[in-house]
Amino acid sequence: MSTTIIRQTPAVRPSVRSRMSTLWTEVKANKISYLFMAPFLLVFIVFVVVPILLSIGLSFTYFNMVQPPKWVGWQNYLTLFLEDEVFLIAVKNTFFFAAITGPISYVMCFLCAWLINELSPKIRTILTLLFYGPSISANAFLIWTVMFSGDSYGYINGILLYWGVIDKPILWLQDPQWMMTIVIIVVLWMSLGVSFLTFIAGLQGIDRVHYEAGAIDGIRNRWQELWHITLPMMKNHMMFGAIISITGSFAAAGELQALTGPTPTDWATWTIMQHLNDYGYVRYEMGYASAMAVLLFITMVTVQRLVQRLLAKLA
Amino acid sequence: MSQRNRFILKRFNSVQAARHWTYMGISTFLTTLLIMALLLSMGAPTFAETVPADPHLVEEDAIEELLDSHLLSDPNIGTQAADAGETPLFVRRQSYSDYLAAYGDAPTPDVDIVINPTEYSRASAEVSPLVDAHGRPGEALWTGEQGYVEWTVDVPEEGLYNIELLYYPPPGRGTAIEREIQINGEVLFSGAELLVFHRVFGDEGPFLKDRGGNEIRPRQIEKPMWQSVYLSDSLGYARGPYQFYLRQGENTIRLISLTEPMVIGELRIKQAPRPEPYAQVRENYGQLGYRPTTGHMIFVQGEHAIYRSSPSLFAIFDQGDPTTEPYHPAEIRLNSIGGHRWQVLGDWIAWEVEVPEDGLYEIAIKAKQNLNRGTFSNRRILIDGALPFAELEAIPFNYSNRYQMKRLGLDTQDEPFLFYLTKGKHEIRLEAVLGDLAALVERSEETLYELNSIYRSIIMITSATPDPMRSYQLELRVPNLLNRLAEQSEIIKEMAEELRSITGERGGHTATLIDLARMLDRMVDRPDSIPNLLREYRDGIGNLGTWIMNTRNQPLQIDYLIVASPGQQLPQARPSTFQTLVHEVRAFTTSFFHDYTGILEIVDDTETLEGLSQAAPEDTDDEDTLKVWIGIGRDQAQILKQMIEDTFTPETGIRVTLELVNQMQQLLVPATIAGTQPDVAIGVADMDLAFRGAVLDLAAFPDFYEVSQRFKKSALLPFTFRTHVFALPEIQSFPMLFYRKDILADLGLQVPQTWDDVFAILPELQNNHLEFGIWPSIYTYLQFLYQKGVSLYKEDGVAVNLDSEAAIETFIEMTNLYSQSGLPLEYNFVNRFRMGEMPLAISNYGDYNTLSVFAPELRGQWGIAPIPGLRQPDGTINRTVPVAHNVLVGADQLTQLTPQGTTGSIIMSKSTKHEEAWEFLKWWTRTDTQVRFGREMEALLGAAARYATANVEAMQQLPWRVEEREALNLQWDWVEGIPPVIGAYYVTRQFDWLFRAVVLQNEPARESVLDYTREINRELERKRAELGFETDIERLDPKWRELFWQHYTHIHRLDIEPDPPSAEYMELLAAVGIQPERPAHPPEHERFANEAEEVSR
Repeated sequence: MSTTIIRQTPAVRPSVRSRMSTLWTEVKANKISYLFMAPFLLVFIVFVVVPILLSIGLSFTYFNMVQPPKWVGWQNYLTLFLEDEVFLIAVKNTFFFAAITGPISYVMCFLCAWLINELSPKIRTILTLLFYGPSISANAFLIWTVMFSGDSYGYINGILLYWGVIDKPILWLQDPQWMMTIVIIVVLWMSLGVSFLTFIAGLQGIDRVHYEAGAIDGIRNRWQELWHITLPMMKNHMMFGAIISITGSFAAAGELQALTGPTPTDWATWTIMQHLNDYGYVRYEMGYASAMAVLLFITMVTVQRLVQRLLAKLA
Repeated sequence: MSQRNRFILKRFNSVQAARHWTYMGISTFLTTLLIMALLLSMGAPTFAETVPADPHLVEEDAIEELLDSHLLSDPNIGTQAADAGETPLFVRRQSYSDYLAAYGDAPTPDVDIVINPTEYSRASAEVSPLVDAHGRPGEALWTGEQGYVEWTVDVPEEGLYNIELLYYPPPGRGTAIEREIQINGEVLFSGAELLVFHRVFGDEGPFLKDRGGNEIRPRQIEKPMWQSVYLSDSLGYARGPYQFYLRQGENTIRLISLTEPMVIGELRIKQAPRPEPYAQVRENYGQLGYRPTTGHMIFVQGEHAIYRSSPSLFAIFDQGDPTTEPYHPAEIRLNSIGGHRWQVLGDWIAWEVEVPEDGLYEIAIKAKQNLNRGTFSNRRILIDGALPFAELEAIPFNYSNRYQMKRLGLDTQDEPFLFYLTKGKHEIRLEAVLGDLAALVERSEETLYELNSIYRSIIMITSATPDPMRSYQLELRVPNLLNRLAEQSEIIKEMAEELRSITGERGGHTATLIDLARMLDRMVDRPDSIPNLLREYRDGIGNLGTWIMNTRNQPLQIDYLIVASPGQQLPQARPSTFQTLVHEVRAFTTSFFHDYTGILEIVDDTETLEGLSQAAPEDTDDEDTLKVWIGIGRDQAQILKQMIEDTFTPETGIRVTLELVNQMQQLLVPATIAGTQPDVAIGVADMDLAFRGAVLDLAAFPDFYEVSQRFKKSALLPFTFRTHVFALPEIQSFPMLFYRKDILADLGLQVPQTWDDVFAILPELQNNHLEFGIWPSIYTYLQFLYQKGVSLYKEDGVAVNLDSEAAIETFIEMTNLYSQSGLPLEYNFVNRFRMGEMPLAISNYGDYNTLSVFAPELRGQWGIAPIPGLRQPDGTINRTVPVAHNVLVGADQLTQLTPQGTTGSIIMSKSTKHEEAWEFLKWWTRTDTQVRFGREMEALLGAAARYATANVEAMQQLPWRVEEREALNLQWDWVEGIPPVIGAYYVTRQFDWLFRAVVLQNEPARESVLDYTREINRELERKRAELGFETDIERLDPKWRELFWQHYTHIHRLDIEPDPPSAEYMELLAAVGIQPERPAHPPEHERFANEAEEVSR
């Protein structure tokens, strides 16, 4: 593989030009490998790297999407930290939301996967479909808008009125008292998604041999089996799941918007992502929105590094 | 309310009134008259003053029987109303079958009395006699879309008679003609108040093709002709034409116009011929010597029908079946007719067939009824306008998801009917009728009415959400409740049984009825469970309503008809497996090469040498075509495309590419950045692009002023900033007051005209657990604010005016409506209105069409009126209602706001074809274009899609009933716009929160208003600074301040006291006996104004 070859370069620090030429010779030497990588690299650069660089660039400009961008230096970042109160609310909400939904959904995914894995293949298939269902159909959470409808004919209101718990309908999705809680419930319900499938795949990939060996070496119960064999064997799957969970909870916006409306009362469920969309598409301030995107990007990368370390220790 | 607040409020009212005088002058007086006229016309029939109300009729009034005793506890309500000369809002009439039963033994004398329509005994001004009109020799009478005409007839003998009418549909608004008939001053039975006379429609020309080979449906045009009909039931319940009882001697017959003009050629009083049974007719054939023909098989393609009763009955494209003729696996072929469009009772389609020789023929129809599962669709079959024999009164077509070959005949004996046709052309006409189901559906409608009134009398005691812990003792408090429920349960069970014997099927269709009956039984068995079953009961009623609607629908799709000599093998209607296979494979293969989405040029085969479409067939993307984006459905785009090709392009020589764009609003921005923007965009509401220079200022065109006169000032306001106007409005829709006549009549209430009236009747409604619906949104707030003549924004939109004293007062009044008067914060208007829980509600006028289409059982039981307003010192009512440019709908799915807004067409400033684009805009918003677009859309999508055009003249020509149109016009005069403001999105948002903070969290109103106002103003200031506008109102150029106020119609300056009304006007008022309060000019006035400003700082 090309990476291994690059490591073999001489330890002497050469000039830039000679380094470039070495690189070029190496690329030529391993051209088959590069050729294989080319299609993906091309797509990756055009659709991921370039946009990231562009938005970093735009974050230093004033850009209203109609007129050409104007350079404003650090102004956007200054406004973001020093003037924009709503951004701080959004940060608070995002972290709160991510801190609750991220770990809970992660643990929930793993536990569900672990439990389902114990069942016979037929039931396992059915249950997997059932659990995975909500995240396949993108707008499944809309049924919650009916459940939590503020009308007295909404399901939850209807039941509570019937039982006599409340005496007039509650506007669940407009009253800041309830909004965050409901949003978290709905997102948790939806979160058995890709990471759940990965965990199932990971659990099934573990050879029985290891458990037999473990039993011989003195493992006495399922917890020990989980801790000493299953988890270490699933390190890569766990990592993948963690990254998906984190990205999902930091970038949550669509579900929130569909539930509590594009403008949640008193910013009660306002996240960075929503703030970003608001500035970008409603207020036509793309430069400022880009600054937020850059910050969000940095935050996500940092948190992922942290989690990676944490998981490395765990295994 | 403190003394000072009250004073300021009063001041605003008087300011409003004073300005009124100066600006509107005599028109105010006219408005008053109009309101009075409207009040009269709303409830009272126009003949009220001439014909005394029959007391007998009122006594028999079914409502009174249904009323609970406690409702009548105050008998004065009714009497007072009667004393004041007001007729009740709603009277339920006896049914036709009851009427017939009452005259069951009356004779049916055989006479033929011909009435010349011009010899009327009395008539309103809207009639005029014609001679030799529309190709018919002799005299005829033109009657307008309102007014009446009455004839006096001398009948030699008392008895039951049919009335035959010869009529011609003159040009009108393109909808069916509706008339009410009164015999001797009375509407005899339910149904007589609505007689429907169809217009005749047909294809304008042959089918055309576009460049992709798809057939294009020709335009539907009217093909008026003289038609002779017996007056009959437009609901389809009565078998045969209506029979009217006429006494011996003089009788009067009066026709009252409801919609559309009509030319009447002749009126005959006679007995309609009764068709003989087939067995008799067949015997006659033998006696007359008619012989079966041999060897003929004539196909008549369904899509080539010559006449139809409605423009919606056009040729359609049925793709899924290889046996259709003509057929193509991918390209559009117009190969059939009908389907779901041909399901309304009374709609008919006629075909022409030419037979080669005299003799007897069979008729077969290749048809498909794939919509009404578990039941069948009925058609009456007329040959040359007459029913050859009784069996053709109703021919059933069974449910099947494939085409079937239906040979008309006695099904039970497998014997085809033989028809005698002479050589030459004949017309075969199929009309949707109810057939055997008529009696059943009629009864179910009565049941529905009864169940609904039982429901209302229950919730008047329990409310719509009863307390499950409480014992209501309903069986004691609602008189006769259990008997009524048990009776309905019996009726429903009988109906289910009957339905099963008619259709021979069990299951879905009867299950609705059986479920409902079971639930009613449960209620009767355990009366204490009624409150708990209420929700189920409500659902049951809803289901019954839907069931009736579905059963009334009689859809049928026809591929072709065959007229054949007897005894021949008919073609297979069902494709063989091999045919289906070939079809699927071809359809799949062509799907890779065929463009299904493009809206392509029409290629005119008939004129291959000339025509613009032929000039350059392949270059739609070239330099000189105008690119237009349209954000609505494909059907609408197709209509527009066709209109462009047959009028715009020939008129101006400008070629147009129409592009259908979803989510246009979002796409305009990236398209502008990328330079691929259109020249014109239709259906835009957003002005953010305009503030950033991407949209062309239309006011710069020299003829802008003339063009702008097509619209109300309020329609232009959402697109007007300073001297610039960025769009021409195309849709302007506004709220109206919807009211249930039957319920208000039950409670003895009148339609409220002012907010004081509303507050007066609210307790009465709420005592009966009924609701008044008004959305808790910024538009409702603005409506209250605007009615006081106060603007939402300060000059030029620099800041929001929420913190002025009048605005705060208004806000508190509005929040009190919800927090203290307990109006519902969230509701589904259409459902609750239909159920009667919400008999009064303010909603967008578009809901009128939704309700008239989806709640047919309510026909005649509800209406629309201008919204309540504020009574002015001079006695007029200020009914101002705001209309925004941006529709809050969609943005916020949860509050489900009905769209009430304005959309417009814009020209992009990057476009290089400004002049051409302007030509297009002028053409598009022109009256004839808008009318045609509106009518064609309605023809295509049904009345629920009635177009809310912003063009004032065009709106008058859309098919509204006179009564509704007048109400709409009155309200339209009171519509006021909301100006575009930089950062306006923040106002709606913060207002919603402010409202929730005060109503849901009981925050103090005054302080909250100031807090939220500060937030809003900060954003407005930020955005104005960003775009380079003044942020300080003091620095603002005085001319912009002046202009800001001039753009309004009903809003008044905050800063300058208006002039007092002119002396002449005051004299005029005095002359008609109105004593206006003179607006006071107290010296303190200045002080309060200053204080109000201080509060805002």
